[in-house]
Amino acid sequence: MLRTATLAVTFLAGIIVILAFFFDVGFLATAEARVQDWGVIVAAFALAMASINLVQVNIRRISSSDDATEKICAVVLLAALVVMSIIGLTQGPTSDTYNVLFDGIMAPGQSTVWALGVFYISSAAYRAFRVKNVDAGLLLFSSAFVMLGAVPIGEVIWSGIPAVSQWIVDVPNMAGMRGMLIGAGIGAFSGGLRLLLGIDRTEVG
Amino acid sequence: MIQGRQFTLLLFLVMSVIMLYAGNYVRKGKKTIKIRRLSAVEAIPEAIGRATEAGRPVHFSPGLAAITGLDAPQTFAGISLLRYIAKLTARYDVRLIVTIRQPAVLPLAQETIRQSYLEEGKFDALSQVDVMFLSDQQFAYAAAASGVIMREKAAASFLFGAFWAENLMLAEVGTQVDAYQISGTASIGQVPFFVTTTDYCLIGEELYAAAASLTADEVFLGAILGQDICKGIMVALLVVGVIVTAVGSDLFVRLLSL
Repeated sequence: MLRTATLAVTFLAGIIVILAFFFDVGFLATAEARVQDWGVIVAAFALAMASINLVQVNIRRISSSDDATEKICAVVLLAALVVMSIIGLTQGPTSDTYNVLFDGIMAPGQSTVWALGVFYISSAAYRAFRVKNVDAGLLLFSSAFVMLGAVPIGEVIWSGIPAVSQWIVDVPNMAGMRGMLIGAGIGAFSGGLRLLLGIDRTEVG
Repeated sequence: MIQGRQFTLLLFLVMSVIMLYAGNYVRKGKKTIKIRRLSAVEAIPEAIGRATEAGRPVHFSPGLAAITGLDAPQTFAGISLLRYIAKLTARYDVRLIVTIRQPAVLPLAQETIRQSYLEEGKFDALSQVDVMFLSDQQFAYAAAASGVIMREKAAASFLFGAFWAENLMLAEVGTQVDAYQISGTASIGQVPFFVTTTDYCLIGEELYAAAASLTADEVFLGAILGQDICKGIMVALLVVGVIVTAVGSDLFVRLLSL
């Protein structure tokens, strides 16, 4: 019964959104807005569940881990969760205190992690560019042109490098990307259709 | 009808009919479908076997996308593969760690794993499973998931779903702990990173076909046939479009903008 109801709700919500995309009918637009609202409500419940999960996992880490650093990290995380929740609930997420804590700790932290990507790219590139076969050789050859085309020294070495680099990006690279994109798009469509019609029941377990 | 979406509706209807018809056609036994073996999918039992021998856990990430929006099908494809992986970890008594970025994916993953362990008759072994919501912030999730892979020394790491700039970080950390890594994404810009850093990679549509390749379900296999027919139609449209536009006609452009 629960499974049938879930499949029916999935179908109904999906078909309303699809019809509203194609047809400019008043009641469809209203129904679509309602579906979107329900989505927000469900997401809010999911966030509450996720927060409970976060607390459970970190309390377990504090109580059972042998690693002192891990325990400290878990305590800091839980303290941050409590402090940010209290400030968010009492002063609102647009208050100065909330923004100072977010912009002063969270944002630089995220930027730092993102910046670390350059080191990961270097180590990955080192492994990828080892010429083990013809494919790896082609990869090295084309990437060397693309990289040299992106920096001023490339043009100094040979004036044609930027043009070759651009051609590699715009023609063979783009052709491959678009081929993958079309395949992925059709695959996503097929997956969506299966979910909509209840053929794929992944979401109902 | 909203202006500019008539051709899209036509394509939507044609593709839907083709996929449903192909599914029915295969289900009725009118055609036997044999799909290409995906080496990434075939390597999954090997990766879990390695984790069993090493006595180390298996890490799984269903990507960073939500269950709504353009990237949602990737998340569902990842969850389909999680069902298969959870069955194997249940069978071999290997600890499974699932890291989650999207709150709405958490119950989906938990239910999928519970179902898999029930089907394997290993409900008691569910205590070995850690499904962790880490953060809904992209790089906070990446840092936390990397920490989990590193601290737990995962013997295998499966990354199936939509990923963005953090994918290289997750895969490189997996490499550092010598994890057997299998990835799959339809986020086209991220495919090169996964191909470079993981042992096997499902590229684009292979992610969607992977779940079908694990099942003998005719409707799933029929959907793959339908996808191939639709791809043929797209290629034909591309060729016709190029020819028509090359001879100076804007007929095709007008048709697409209907």
